[in-house]
Amino acid sequence: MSLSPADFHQLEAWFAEASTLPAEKRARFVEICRETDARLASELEQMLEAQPLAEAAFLPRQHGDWRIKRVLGEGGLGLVRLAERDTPTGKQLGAIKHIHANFDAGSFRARFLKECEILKALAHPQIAAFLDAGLDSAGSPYFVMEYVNGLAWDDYTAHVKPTVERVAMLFRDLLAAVAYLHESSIVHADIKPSNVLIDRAGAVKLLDFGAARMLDADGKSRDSTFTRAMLTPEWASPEQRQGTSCTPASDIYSLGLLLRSCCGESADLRAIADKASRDEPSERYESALAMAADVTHFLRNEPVGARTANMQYRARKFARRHRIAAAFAACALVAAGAAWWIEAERARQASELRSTLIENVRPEKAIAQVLKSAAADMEADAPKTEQAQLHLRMAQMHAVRSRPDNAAQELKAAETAVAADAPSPERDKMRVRLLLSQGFVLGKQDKLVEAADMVIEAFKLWETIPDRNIELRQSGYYLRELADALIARGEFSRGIEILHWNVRRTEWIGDSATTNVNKRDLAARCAQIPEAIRSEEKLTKLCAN
Amino acid sequence: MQGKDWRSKTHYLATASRVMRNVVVDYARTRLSAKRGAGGKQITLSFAENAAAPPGLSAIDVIALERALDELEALDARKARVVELRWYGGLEVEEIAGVLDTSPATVKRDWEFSRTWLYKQLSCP
Repeated sequence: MSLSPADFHQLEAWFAEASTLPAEKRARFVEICRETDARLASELEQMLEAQPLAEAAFLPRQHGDWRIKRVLGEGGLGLVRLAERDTPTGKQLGAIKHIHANFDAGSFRARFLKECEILKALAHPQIAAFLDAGLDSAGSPYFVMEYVNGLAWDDYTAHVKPTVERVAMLFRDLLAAVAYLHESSIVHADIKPSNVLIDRAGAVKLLDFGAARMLDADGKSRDSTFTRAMLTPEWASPEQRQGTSCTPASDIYSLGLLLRSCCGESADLRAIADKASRDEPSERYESALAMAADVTHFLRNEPVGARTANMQYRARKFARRHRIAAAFAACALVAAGAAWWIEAERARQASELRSTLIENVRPEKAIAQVLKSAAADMEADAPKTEQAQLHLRMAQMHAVRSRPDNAAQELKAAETAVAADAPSPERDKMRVRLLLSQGFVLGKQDKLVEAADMVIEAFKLWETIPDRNIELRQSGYYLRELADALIARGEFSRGIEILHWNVRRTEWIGDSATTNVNKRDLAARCAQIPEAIRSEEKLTKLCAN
Repeated sequence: MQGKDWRSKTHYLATASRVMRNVVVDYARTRLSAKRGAGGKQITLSFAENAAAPPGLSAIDVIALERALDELEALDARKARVVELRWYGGLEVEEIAGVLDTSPATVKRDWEFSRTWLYKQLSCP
């Protein structure tokens, strides 16, 4: 029946009054009401009859000792809700996970029970603990795990904005948990931001083992098709997405993506993330512990293995490319060199160029404009160094346009001009620049040994100049690539000498951070060489046989 | 600060209750139409699929409750809100009083009346 608002409020008032009365007096109260409004009184009567049933119906839902409080989230197979139970020392909270009635059958139920079984077997401070399990009145299984009151990894990093060191510390703890899992022959298989929580105390907790699987004795997991249907493609490894396999290396991959999402500007953490998330499982960290060791290196300001490894990886790739096509390797080298050259010249000539440089114009275009005006201004009796300067610029023009022979010609002319000048520090500076440029052009002609000799001569001369004030800032990458190319060709001493000058260069500039990197590079190469020589000897022997 | 945190928390819970209600009802509607399509078998839907409800009301029809709740809302919006917060959101009486800016005693009275009235509407329509 439908009630008017006035009736409704009358009913409410009667009900409130009747509720205060003992049961035996309620019937009498209803009779009194009936004299005022018979229809409304029978409504009241029905309500009073329904009251105890309603109370029972709307009781907080309960499973075993656990009272449901509210929904926390929805998992793949059912709801996760907050629940509490009474213990001798007070109330205990838990996250209760229920299989959805729709899924409570066959393989889904088996899957659910497996998750419960896996969780039960684990005990680690960074893994949400198993608390209880049971069947509800309808016979559907549920289990309860530790309730983690905290933020998901992505929310935490976005809102709390932790420092990279803090991120690294949390990540190391997470890796310890994953290492523990893998030792227990379990692959989580669904590591993603929403499954990694940071609790109120700032501890990291790994949850949701809904996709987890146990490994066979041979380290392989079965029923990968099931995982494939359940996984989160965004965070899953290529082999999981393809459904080919799911191993500890798959977790390493997801961890790499997770780290990359929050490593900020840190090149070290990025290198670790990159190594962990390589497409090829064998190229990733061999274990969570190995990855944790690298994160620890980062925290202790020690060299990070992944970066050296990345360099070795690059060097290997470089060498491979080199064997296939030496010319192609030289091209890469030249491209790096050209960038340096243009940058260095641009910095040096900044004020000169400013008048002619149009915003966003391509560097070689800007240089061409300068050249044009310089040629017009050129007087026959201009100092030879200035003539050399013009030839040098011409050479650069040719070099960046991949005309190394023309560039070499211009450099030759520049050299002749400089040689005619009287000795002075300014002349020597010009010669240093010429030698470096010649080295660059020779590199472009794939004459690496001659290129190295020019560069070495340039630096030796540079050291004799009192103020040594020559723009050398941008040459580091070129020098490193040249050294690597030399080492790849077995020209170890020249390669090492170039790296040595690279260290001297950054020392002079006063860039201590880059100096340290360069020193480390030098040491790493020195350490690799005996190994490289041995491989080379082996190879020679093999070829001889 | 404490008070502000608490307010934003209850506000969040209030929103979550509304969302939960919608989710449950939508889910029930989808299931109902699916079952109807499958041969019109009479079904009942429990609030939460796995709720261990007491005998006598082992399964309440979510759709019927939703209808009754709409009816309640037309008559007394605050009472419907109390039900939503309490039943779908799992809020405590004090929390509901905070959200609705009323006294815990009023919330208790509203809850007592509303759940009985709803039950009656469902059992003797």
